[in-house]
Amino acid sequence: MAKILYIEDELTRNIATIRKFFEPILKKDKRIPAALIELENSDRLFAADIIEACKPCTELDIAHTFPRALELVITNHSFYDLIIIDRNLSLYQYVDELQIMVSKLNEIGQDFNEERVLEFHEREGDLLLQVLVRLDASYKDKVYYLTANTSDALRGSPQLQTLIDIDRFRQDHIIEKGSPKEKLISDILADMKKFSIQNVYKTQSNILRKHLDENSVNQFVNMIKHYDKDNHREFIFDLRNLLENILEMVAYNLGEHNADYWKYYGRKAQLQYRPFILYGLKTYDEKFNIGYNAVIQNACISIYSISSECVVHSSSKSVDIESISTGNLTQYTVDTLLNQICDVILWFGPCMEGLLPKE
Amino acid sequence: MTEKKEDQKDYTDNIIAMLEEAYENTDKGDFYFFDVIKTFINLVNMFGRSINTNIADAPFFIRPKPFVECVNKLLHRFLNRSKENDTHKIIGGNLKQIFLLEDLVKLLKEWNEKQADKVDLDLLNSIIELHDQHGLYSIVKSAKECVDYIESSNEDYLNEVDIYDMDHVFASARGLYHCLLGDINFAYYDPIRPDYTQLLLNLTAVENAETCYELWSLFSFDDFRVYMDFSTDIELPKVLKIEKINSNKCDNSNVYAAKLHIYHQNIEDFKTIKDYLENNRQQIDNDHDIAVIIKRIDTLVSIISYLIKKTMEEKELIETNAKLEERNRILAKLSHSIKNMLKAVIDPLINLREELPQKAVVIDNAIKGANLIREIVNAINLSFQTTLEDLEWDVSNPCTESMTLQDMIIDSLRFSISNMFDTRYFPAYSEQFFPRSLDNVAYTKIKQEWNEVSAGSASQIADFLEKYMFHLELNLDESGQYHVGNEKSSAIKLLILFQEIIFNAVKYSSYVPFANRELNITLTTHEVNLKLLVKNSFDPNVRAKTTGVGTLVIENFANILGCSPIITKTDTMYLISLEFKNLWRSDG
Repeated sequence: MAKILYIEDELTRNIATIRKFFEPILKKDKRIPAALIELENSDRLFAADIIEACKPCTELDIAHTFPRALELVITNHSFYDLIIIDRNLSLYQYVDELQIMVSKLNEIGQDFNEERVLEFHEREGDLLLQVLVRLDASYKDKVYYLTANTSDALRGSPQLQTLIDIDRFRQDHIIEKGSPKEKLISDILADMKKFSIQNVYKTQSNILRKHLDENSVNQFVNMIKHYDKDNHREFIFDLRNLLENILEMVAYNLGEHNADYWKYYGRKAQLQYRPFILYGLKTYDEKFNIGYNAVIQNACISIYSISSECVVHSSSKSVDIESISTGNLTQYTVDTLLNQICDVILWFGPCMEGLLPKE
Repeated sequence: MTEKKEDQKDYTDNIIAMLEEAYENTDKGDFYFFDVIKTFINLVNMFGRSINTNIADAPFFIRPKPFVECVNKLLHRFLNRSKENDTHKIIGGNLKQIFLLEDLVKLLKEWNEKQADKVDLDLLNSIIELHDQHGLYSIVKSAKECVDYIESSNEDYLNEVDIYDMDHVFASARGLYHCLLGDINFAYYDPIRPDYTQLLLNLTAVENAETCYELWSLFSFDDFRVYMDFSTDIELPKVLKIEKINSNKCDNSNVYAAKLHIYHQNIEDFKTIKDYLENNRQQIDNDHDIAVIIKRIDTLVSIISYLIKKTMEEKELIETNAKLEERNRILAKLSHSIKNMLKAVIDPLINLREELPQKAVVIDNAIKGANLIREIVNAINLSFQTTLEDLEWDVSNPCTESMTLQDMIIDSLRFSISNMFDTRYFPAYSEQFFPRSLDNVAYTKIKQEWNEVSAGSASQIADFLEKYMFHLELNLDESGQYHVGNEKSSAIKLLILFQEIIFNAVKYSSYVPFANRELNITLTTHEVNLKLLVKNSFDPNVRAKTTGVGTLVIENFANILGCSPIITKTDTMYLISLEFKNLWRSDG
């Protein structure tokens, strides 16, 4: 189950935003949308009421004050798959809680005193972000930052700019409130699983995105989803397709159009996967060193052979999935196949970097 | 040695007292203190008891020893005070001030040479060093040395030539260097260059220049290069001295960029001469004159470097101001556009509310949000459009739509209190006045009571506030008689100004415990002015979430009223006051 932290101080005027952003997860419990609608119609509402209304949804934590946000960030940071931070959290006063906040920061080895915390007034989110990426560098990809004015956000905060400069945070994760870019968050929330998978398999996703396309990333994500759900047939189908896409991309870029691993049907060339895995790549590697070793070769042949045995063939991209037989696959085999495709993708990235002409 | 005579009066203590008083009054400007020292040094030089002077029969005398002790003591104090306050810079570019210091140093040197009781010159030098923000003192000193050298060589020259045959070029060069220190007395009336073209010197501007920047900006430094070897036995190659004024023209249309371009070119040109001298030192074989020229170059380069720095500062200032003006213009224009666009949002929402009565609350909230935006941009817009003439017109011509100042203040209060019941848009303040622990029944009762009272009199409002929110004191004097018309939107503009101030006061009083909350609004006549004073209890630790729009609006309106908002804070009270001309009184 994916877990989300939403930090926003102006909750009372943002019920519509909460409904818009979190609808996919909130609607799982019908009481929540109903309670939010009721609050939206109420003429006396408190931020605490809104948090209370969303409480049945265990996937979502909401903090509306800076101290509470800091507490959740420090204690629960290892659980969140996505954190949405509103930058300015100064609506509710926190001067009285400064000492506690400083103690908490010091406990996790972060060197802050009251004065330094107060420096972040009206950009408290910057401090939260700084704390998060220090605790876990992977938050670089998991945090989305909401601000009234994107350019002002960077101008007014040397810390934020530094985090971007040293690649601890992504500028494209700073989103102007009310801008069309907000849809990005709705899209992520609509498929949190995909977002989590892309964060867990970040390197693989990035390589596929860079050297194949977004469809291949989606195929990889779907493959993992099937793996998680023990849908072996779908898993093996996506696995084989992904391998073939990778091998074809490499083969095209080797530029050996007359090599034995190409078979021509009229003007149309078809890659012969097995010869390519066993001989084509090996021979090329001996000449030009593309990092193709026994591990990658065995991974490729293993995926190729096992998927073939499950009746998934290169010509079967439109094969009826029901016809795929996965009876012989144990969980160990499936685990192995997943690890192997991950290795193949890791090889694929640098291999393509070496093959493509340098800019 | 002059002896004291029986009828001579001892003025030492008086002089010391005056010196101390001058030190204590350094607020008048630090140069006042140095000026007084200089005056007294001159005086003691004349009337000092142990000084050989011709004024032995003067009616008073001054004892140098206690005088010098006092000068040293005060210089010491001055130095310590300057060290404690490192932002205290006194040499800011005013030529007269630098000359005063220079004269004083010279005077004290002469004193020390003659007197047994020495003034601690190190102290004065340390003070100068500490205060010489841009190294200006040393630049001027160095320039003065160059001029002094020219003067001394001029005397030699005059001894050699017939004064009536004095070379115009020579006189022009001498005048040019004197002008560098703002002294036009030696400037020749028709200055020329060695090629007999006219040397352009704006002597009036030179004489009137008050700061180093003003003065030095008047020069083309090519002129100095033309005379670089003047009064020395060195003759620089013509190519190094060739006049470049015309070739220095820069295509850049930006005057500052062009200026900077020329300055950098000047520095390069001087550097070329310096390199030439260094490389040909042996052939020239005249170390003394090489040193003279290098000193001139170094001085001029320091001056040009200072000009570059100041020009860049000025350029930045002009750019910043231009940006600020542009920002205000855009803000004013933008707020107008937003206001119009908001209408396109509000009207369909109003229609939708009719069509979907079941969604009335949600749509009402959206309309309220849109109206809040409209009010903000309206305030910005109007604050940029107001003029005092408009206000005067509306004061003199109150029409049927007019409001009194008292009405405006009460209305502002109503507006502010009503907003405190808005938990959606002002939750932080609302929660302070009516916390979550207050049950809904009690809250609804309070709100209903407010709805009944809000349209009532000031005293009814005050009673309500006393009971539930804060203690209110109103002292609105005769402001009930002061009407403002709205033909030129003055009534609405003043209402916005009062709203901004009073709303802030109500918001921030919320952070104080109920028992200590108070708001005091006073609008009183103060001689020919009217003074609005809004005082509220506040917690100094509270830091507001602010857009700064309120401040901008208040400042803009205050500016039109010809005043600035004065803010005073104590540990528990926040006070803002505006004192503006009473346009309602004939003597205002």
